[in-house]
Amino acid sequence: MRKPEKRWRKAVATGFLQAMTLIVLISAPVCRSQDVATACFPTNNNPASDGGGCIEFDMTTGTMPSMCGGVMAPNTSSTVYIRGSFPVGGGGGCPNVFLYAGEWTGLTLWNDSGPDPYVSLSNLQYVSPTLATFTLSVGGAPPGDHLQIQMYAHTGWIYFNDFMIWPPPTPSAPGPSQPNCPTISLAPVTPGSPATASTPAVPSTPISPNVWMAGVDNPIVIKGSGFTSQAVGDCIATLVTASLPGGPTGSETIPISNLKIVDDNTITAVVKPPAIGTAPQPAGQVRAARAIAAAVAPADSGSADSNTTETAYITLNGTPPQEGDNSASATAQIVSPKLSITQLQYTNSQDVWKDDPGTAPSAMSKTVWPPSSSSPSVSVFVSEDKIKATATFNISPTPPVAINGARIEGSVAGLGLLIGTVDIPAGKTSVKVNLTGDTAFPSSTTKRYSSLGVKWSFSVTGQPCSANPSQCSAAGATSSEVYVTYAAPSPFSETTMTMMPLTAVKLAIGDGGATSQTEVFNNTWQQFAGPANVKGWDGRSLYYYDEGMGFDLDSVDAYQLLVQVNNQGQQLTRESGQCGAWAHLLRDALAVNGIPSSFVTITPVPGTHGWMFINDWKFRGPPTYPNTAPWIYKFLLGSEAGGYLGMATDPPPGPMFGDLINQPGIAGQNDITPSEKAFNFHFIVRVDGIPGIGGPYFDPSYGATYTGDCDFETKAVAGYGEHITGEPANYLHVQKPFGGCSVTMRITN
Amino acid sequence: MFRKTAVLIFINALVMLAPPRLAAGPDRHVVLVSRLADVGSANSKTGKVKTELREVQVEMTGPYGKPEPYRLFLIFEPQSGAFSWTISLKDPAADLSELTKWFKRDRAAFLRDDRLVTFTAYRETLEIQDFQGHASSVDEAEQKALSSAAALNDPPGSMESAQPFHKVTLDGLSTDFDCEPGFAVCGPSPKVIDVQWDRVEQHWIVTLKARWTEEITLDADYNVVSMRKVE
Repeated sequence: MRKPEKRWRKAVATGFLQAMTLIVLISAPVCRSQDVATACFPTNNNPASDGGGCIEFDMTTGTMPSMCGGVMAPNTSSTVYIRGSFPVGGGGGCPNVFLYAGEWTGLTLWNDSGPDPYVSLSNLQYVSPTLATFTLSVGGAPPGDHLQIQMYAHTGWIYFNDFMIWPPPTPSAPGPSQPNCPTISLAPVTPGSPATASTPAVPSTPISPNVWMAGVDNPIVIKGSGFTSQAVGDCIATLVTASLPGGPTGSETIPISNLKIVDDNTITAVVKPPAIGTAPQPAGQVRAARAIAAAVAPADSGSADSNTTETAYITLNGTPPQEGDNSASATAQIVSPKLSITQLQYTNSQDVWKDDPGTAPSAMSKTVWPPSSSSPSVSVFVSEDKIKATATFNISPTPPVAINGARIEGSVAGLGLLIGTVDIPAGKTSVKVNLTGDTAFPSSTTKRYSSLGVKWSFSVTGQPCSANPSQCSAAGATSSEVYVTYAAPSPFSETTMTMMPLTAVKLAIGDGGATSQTEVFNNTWQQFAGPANVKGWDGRSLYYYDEGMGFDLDSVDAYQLLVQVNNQGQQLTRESGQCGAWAHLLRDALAVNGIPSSFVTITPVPGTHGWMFINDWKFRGPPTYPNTAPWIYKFLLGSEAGGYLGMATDPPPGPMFGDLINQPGIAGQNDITPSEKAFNFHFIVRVDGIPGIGGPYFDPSYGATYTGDCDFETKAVAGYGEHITGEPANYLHVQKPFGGCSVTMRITN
Repeated sequence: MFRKTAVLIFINALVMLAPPRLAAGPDRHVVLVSRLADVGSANSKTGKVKTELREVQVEMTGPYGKPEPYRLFLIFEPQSGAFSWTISLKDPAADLSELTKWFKRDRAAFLRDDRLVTFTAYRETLEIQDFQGHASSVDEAEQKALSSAAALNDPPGSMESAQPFHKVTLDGLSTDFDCEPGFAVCGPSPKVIDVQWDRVEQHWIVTLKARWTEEITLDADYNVVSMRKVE
């Protein structure tokens, strides 16, 4: 809106100019009465109703023409036609037409004799005695500027037109049609898409207002009549453009292709706005950045809107001057659908059971994103695996037209890309895509990724983001914990262990990085050795005969240990296991990496009737049975629940067990002095082919290694016991080891 | 004076620290401390017969020549006068009726030809006591048993090993019979739930119960004839 002062200034300036003109005219020859001129301008980016129509001015009337204001976009050019008997090409009694264009921003500028900084007239041509044309170019004038073009003849000022420089406004309806040019209009985009195997068809419902999608061929339909009847040289569509208004260059041209006259009433074309990439955008792409969600364009987030507007124009140019021109335009909102990952599944990860007390084996969800706040999923792969995944993305704004062959990329640090392509029907609010990694996990190497991050990108054009980063938009990020095993897991030794427990995975891989079978084994064994006081995957302690836990209350295999039940399936108060449970747990951890092992049973010689007492015990003297040497010491076992004989009676018998006094000695896992130290059997693990770590016998209960039976006796055995004939089973005769290596080690499975 | 005192103290210390000397020679010293009476049963060719049970705590000379607590367990069948007994060192913490309960729970007896034969199972072994004692009353049986035990206590403290038992190893029975696979100990201990004498075949049929029931057939000399899993 012009201020009143400017109106006043304009009036003064106009008056001044007219006065000067009058002075010139007084001295000029009188022109013929038929000096009537018609000017049609501008023809570019200016609807006909807004000053673009042909305006006739009859000099004889002496009246001022109406101020048919127009609009021109910055950095555009227009061809202006002057029709009538007046333009005679510099002869015929009427002097040449003078044209003057200046920026009407104030009186002072009218006195500016230098080149106008924004506007120029050029290429004035006298096409015929009744037709002249010139080119009007508008530079990068600031929006809101005014221009005035005036036309003079020797007879005086005959015409002027007032322009406002402004980006193209929302086009209005086409102006009065030329009799020989079809009236045209652009129909709304019809984004229908056919059904696919996974998506239903989307009906072809026109979207109003028009919405075009960045990066995708968007159909436009031009409605009119009589297209096919146009003679060659008559009104044909000669100018179809779409532009992105604004920007440093004033506009960015968008290609329109496949312009076709379909029938008498329809012309079709395809417009393809550029794909809008990820922030940060280069300086020249600020508007593009604004077109995508604020979240990914932080530099522009303050005023970001989710879309921008494009206008396509089509002009039918008739053969000048008879047919004139008709034009139409369609404005469409350009949307750049943004994908945002909502769910990610690693579909080819191993079935892993997140062992918890009281829970039966059940495969952990392979959905790693979004992470469960209470129990995030963990994935286990085998070395040389390539990740296969299924990802689901939200789409916003929804695509107005189908996107075929869109590419989804997940960039995994150090592991290449997860790649998938997908057809996205129009109108979809979410899409699921299958992806496959292009890079395998390293061969024969254990890995642990505490947070394997994936940065997701969406390429509407289907091109790799590396080839054309600006065509890709960010689609969120995910992360999850991932383990990679050394080799394919072996079957577990326990029939009850139907699935890989996460605790075994943790024990198998630790922090990863092992590249040989020896390193793999050592990584696992170091989590037992010492004892290391083994923890479950969640940090819970796993015990070896915890205090007060007797044979009936200690688990027998690793499965029972991890779910905290005893051999009868009764729920226990603590995860405490017998040696068999620990041997199985070590074997299970080794099986995760495919390392073979054997279950070894240790029994006292002469076999199954004997007892052995694990360090440390103090032998109280004098012995009770000096006459039955060497079995001279008495050992009294207690009666435990389940009918077992042991040490963890309720109430505990204290340190005295006949002639033997219980002493701290070999610690068990998470238990300095295990509650049971007298056994008929002890179960350990044998692993062959692992040099330099000890063994080949590995005792996970105590975190100890043995070279054989004598080594076991030396390190672990305080005494051997035999039953006393005629006495209840809990009465034993005991002797100290005498260096006879009085145990046997047998591989039992 | 000082030197003499030091030498005496040193000699006394040596005596005190030295292991106690084992007693030698038979010892007839028996002091009754307590007596627990109960009743039980034994199988016979005519069916079950009533038995009288006694668990007697006595004090006898132990292996180092000092009095030690012992316990005598006695089974007496009144009709035939047959009795059987065992004696062993008593643990101070042991229940006074431990052996009585053990007999009723895990052991079995059979009256055959006026002899009481007791059967006990430990792991995959049968311990059989075939005793030919006779008395007119349970009191007389107790006296005879204590006298015999005193005679066996030579040297003192060696009675357990001196008592006669038939130990029958059941080689055909796997350790799984009473050992749960994967358990570090075996148990519960097998029970003898029935004993029969087959007069025709002259066989003992002993039925054991642990993780399953096993029927053991022994000949008259307690050699294993056959075994079969019953259930």
